[in-house]
Amino acid sequence: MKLLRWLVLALMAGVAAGASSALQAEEFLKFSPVSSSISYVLVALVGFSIGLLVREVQEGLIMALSITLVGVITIFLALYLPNVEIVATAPELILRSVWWGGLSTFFLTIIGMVVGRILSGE
Amino acid sequence: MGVSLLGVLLLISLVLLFLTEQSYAAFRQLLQGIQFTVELTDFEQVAPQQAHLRWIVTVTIPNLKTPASLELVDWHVRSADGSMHLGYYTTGEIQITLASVTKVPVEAVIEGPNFEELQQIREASEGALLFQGMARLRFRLPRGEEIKIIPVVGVFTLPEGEE
Repeated sequence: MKLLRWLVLALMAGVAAGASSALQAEEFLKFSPVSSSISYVLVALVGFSIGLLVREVQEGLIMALSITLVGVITIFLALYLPNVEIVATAPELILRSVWWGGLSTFFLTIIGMVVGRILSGE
Repeated sequence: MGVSLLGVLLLISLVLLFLTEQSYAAFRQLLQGIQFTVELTDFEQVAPQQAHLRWIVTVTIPNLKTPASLELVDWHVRSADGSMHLGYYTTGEIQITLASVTKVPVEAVIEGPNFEELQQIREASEGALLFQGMARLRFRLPRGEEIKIIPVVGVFTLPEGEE
């Protein structure tokens, strides 16, 4: 996989996974148009779509880590920007959501990737 | 197929996040715009040791688009300096559906030792009283209910010459 394509995919997948994961953050949960289980499915589908594109286990693992990194930044920005004044006094309020969002993004991406590899028959 | 699916997922997730953030920001703005005013509308001595007070609590919520209701709970009447407590009252389980401007009538009967204290306040500090209460606001959001408890405070003066 060429480096540029790889970076674009990691960025697209990371932003999609992070945005989906942010929907089930404590702060947004009651305001989301979809339930938290739908947001988890969306993250897993991101992993699934990447699973159709990667070829090797190592490549998939590095991609999952990159998606998680970009995803965590996306979650942080999604929660930080509308809560700038709250975060200034109590940063722990969003850090918990960012931590949990990053963890769930990583594992759901891996699960989605494994399913994608199995269904693609490779 | 993988890239197309990823593109669709990116679009869906960003649209959902945008809608969620808009709804969240609108709700926070709504909370910042809530105002309470307390106004004494009637003071009447109905018996030698009993007075009847009525207030109107006005709740103003600009651009209210979220269904909401209100309960006034745990409210007290004190002397303006807070030294004398004239009673504790509650509106119980009454829930009032909120509009952009909602007027909530509240009343209390002050009698016995509390009435004597009320008389002392009228003589000593020009009848200035403090209304302190808690408003429990329930907002029905797209996914669940959000409850906010907001303090309500109002200072008012009892009319002179009525015994």
